[in-house]
Amino acid sequence: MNESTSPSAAVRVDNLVKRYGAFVAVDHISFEIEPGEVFGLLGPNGSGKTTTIDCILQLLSYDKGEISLFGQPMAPTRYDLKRRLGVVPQNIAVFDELTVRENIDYFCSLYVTDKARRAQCVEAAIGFCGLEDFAAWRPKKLSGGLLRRLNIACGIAHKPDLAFFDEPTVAVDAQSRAQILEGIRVMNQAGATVVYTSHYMEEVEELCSRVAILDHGHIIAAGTVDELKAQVKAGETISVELPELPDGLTQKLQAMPQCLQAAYKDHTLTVRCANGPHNLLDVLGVVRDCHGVPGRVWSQPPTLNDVFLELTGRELRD
Amino acid sequence: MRVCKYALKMAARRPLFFLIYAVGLSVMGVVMALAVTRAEPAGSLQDVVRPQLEWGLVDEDRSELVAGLIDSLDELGPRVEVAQDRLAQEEAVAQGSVDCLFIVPAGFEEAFLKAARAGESLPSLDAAYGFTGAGGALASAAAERWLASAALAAAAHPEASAAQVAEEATRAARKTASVELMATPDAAEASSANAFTFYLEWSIYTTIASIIACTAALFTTFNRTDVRRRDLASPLTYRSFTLQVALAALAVTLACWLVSTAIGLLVFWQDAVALGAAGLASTLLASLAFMLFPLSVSFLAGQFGVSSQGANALGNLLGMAISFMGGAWISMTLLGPEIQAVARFTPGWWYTNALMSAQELAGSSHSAAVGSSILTDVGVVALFSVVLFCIALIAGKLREQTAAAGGNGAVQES
Amino acid sequence: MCKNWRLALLTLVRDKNFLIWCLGLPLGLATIFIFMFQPIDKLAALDQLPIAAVRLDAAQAATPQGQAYTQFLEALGSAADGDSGSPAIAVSWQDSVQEARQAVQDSQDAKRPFLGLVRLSPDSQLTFEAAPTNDSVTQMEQSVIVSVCDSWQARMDAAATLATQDPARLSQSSVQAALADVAGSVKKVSLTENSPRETCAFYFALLGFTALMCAQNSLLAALTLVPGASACGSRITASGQPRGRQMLIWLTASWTASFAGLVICLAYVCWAASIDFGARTGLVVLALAAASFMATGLGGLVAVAGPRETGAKEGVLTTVTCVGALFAGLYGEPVMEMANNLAEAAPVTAWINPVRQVMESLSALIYYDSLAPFWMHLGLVAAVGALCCAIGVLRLRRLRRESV
Repeated sequence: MNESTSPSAAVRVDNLVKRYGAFVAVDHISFEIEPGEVFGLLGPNGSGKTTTIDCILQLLSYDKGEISLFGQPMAPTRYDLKRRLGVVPQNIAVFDELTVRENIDYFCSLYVTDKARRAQCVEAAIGFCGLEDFAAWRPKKLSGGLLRRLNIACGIAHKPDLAFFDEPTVAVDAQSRAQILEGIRVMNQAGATVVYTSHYMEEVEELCSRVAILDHGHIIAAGTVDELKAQVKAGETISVELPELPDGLTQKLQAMPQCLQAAYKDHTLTVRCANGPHNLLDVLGVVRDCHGVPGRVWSQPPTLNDVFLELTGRELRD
Repeated sequence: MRVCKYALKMAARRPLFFLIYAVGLSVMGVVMALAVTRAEPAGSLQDVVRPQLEWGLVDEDRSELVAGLIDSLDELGPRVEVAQDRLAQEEAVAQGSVDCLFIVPAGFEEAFLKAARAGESLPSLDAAYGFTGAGGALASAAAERWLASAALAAAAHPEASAAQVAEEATRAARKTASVELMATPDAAEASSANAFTFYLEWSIYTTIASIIACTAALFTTFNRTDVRRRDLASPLTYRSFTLQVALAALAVTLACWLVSTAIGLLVFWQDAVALGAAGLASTLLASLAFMLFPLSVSFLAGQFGVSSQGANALGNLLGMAISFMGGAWISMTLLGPEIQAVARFTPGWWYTNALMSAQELAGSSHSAAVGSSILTDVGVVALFSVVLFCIALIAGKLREQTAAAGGNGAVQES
Repeated sequence: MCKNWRLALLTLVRDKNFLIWCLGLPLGLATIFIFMFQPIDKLAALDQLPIAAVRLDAAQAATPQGQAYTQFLEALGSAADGDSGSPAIAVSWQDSVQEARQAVQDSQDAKRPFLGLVRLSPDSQLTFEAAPTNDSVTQMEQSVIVSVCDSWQARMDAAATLATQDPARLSQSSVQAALADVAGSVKKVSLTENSPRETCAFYFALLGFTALMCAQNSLLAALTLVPGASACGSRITASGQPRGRQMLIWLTASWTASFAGLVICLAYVCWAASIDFGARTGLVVLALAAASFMATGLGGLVAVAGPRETGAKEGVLTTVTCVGALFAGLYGEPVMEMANNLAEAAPVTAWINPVRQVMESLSALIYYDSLAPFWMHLGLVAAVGALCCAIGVLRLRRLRRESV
């Protein structure tokens, strides 16, 4: 992916391979994450995102490859490096027997030994995640969104330099999701490097400065969101409401050089076009020439799902 | 020590669990010890000449001869009343209520006297044995003895009435052979049972089950997959983390031990005092050392990620096996040499040895030797725990993932 | 519904709790018991009783008492058969008292050591020297020898008295027959279908214990129906399937799983411990069905009426099981004695103890001619199960509406 080997990279993964018997979960992947980045690992379920994270965190052994954090080789016993990390796992990892405050204090205590400083960190984390009203509650009484926030608070209370978020917004309501993403932005602005894994392309597009797309253990594409979108042919997708499909319209649209695909379903004509400056005008012109009566018209820029679809032939959420 | 502190906090927030296992099972141990009167076989002459049996007799004849037989059988032990119906008789032998049940048919006296005086084969009465052949045989032999004397009396005095024959048989049966106990050079002194010691011995099962259940709950909490990932990803060394959790489990174990011992001391305080200061101290030391064994088993199971149900089952199984091997259920002398040999490889055997030795400490003239023996036994018990604990640490270390491959394999521990 | 039932059963038997509670624990305990009780069964069976006997010198052997002594001991070895009340006694002749004592001491390490030695003093006093032992069974066997010796001594003394008082009577054939008769007045019979074995009670108590342990599996099955206890519980409760049908499916599946576990356990115990129910094997299956029904009911009851935390519920079941097993006498001979005494003194404690009832139902099958006791114990087990099921079902229906 990125051939230059920056010595100050926050994370450097080189030729990582992880096998489970005959199954190759991670297949020779390499990438670098610069300090201060929000780096996205995007891919469908089972693509190797969590496995990659676990290898970086030294929770899994791997068959081949090198991993460095902050320019230093990573190992299970590099506690100095571990002290600078934060982990927010995919599943809720808190103790049911402890309250919200106690849970955060416990996990923070694994990183921060000074009592006074830790108390400050805990209170800050509670405030950061909006858990002030629930600090004395036990996890069983919290809603799904609050549990996720607690899960995050436990992972970032000690203000890590490098934080790993493994699908932190699964099964979370829209409001909580927005708050979580905002919180990550704030963390990043404060100087933290973030590694964010998800199969929600909207979040990754919104949050991440650079993205690597994984599929079946390979990185199939990597770069900024714009770079990734520029790699594919798909430009915008134009949708036109039509009560009836005029004769010959679809054929004429498909004859257009920039038209990649035209389909009519549920009174809506959908045209995928290659990148071009006048796609909307050209499509509406053809509709008019065929005596179509358009209703609402809208245009959607290409998404990472389009990128994935073009690269693999499948949707991200297949 | 934050991990330890929070582990204890979590354990303290499950009081019901602790109460059920630690207190509930300890009370069960008390009930066991209270309800049972254990007659320690002392190897004395009395036990050979006058063993105690439970016998029954269904008298369908209701004659004076049989009344004489019944009087003579009283020397065997208490007579158990058994009803005449078949089911009651079956129940008596099937449940072991009697070692031997005699059934005297109707017309027995008349037939017996007639046959004895004619020199013919004597009629027989039926004897159904209980659980042990020896008990039944002894009762039968006692009945045979009296009937033989009665037959002789009847034959020698044809004119005598049944009552006179019975009286003569009873008088003749008082003539006995001499019985002596063969001396051996190393005959052990008999020791009487101490109820507190007995409680501790019986509690092997309940304390193993309760400690494993209570501590396994703690290990299971920390073994949940994502919690464990978080802990492993932290800068806290695995060794420190494991030891802190183990320390919390040790505190839980000590709490279980205190509860169990306190309950025992409360109920059996007189027997505890009778042990003397040295005996009591040795007993408690042995008990404390033994408590470490289920802790180390639980710790080892935790390193393999055994669930709380699995640990519960393990505690029950191991508790029964260890208490059996310690001779709590059945006297070790009754078991085969192979079982006795295997028992020496279990901590229960050494623990009960220590308890028995501690009992002897008070009245013994060889207290130094006995004390040394106790310390040896306690040391072996503790050794079991140490070995298991070491195995658990190694297993945990192996379970912790290492980056052994590729370039990172060359990184040395900082 | 059949498909749902099959899937419910599959879910239960694939759960590791089934392996632990319904198979692993009972089979493990049964194996321990088999090792424990094998030697006891051997000891309980009465073998030949070996003794050493001191041969008389020529002078004493020629006397009437000496002849009687020699004949008595020789007759002992050949007298006993299986039906007689007297056991077989194996006599090993030694030439002197010292040799006999040495033989007894040397035999102590053998499989069947001498119980002691018998000798006749010059004044015709029979003496039995018992080998030292702390083993109660050996002491009992020594007492048998003592009793046999007492019998001979009594007859010899009576004969001596008669010889002094009325020598003519001594020579009568009936008197001679009475003097010579070694055994025959007591006939060993068997009242029960199978010879009573103390260890059977422990195996049956173990099966009762196992039945109650199967309730752990039933607890988890019942928790599947409790809305707040699991995500599956909520899903099932909110589904279109009638509540009664849901309960019927899961509870019968749990019953089947427990029953299967008990059958496997019983088959193993019967095979390894040589317990044979003969023609009543079908009734044994019925007893196990009742026991597993009781376990299902109990597990369901604790699921809905016990403490909130699952771990605490398991603890309640474990305690109930252990206490039930205690009063069924599972934990060794003294405890069995205590339990039997308590059952005799206060029968109600036995009636309400499901472990004891399972044990007694199996004992009734193997020992008694009449089936009445079996049906009574079976009825009690089924009644406990029905009561627990009824309470559990009523509460489960309410839990559909209440928030947890």
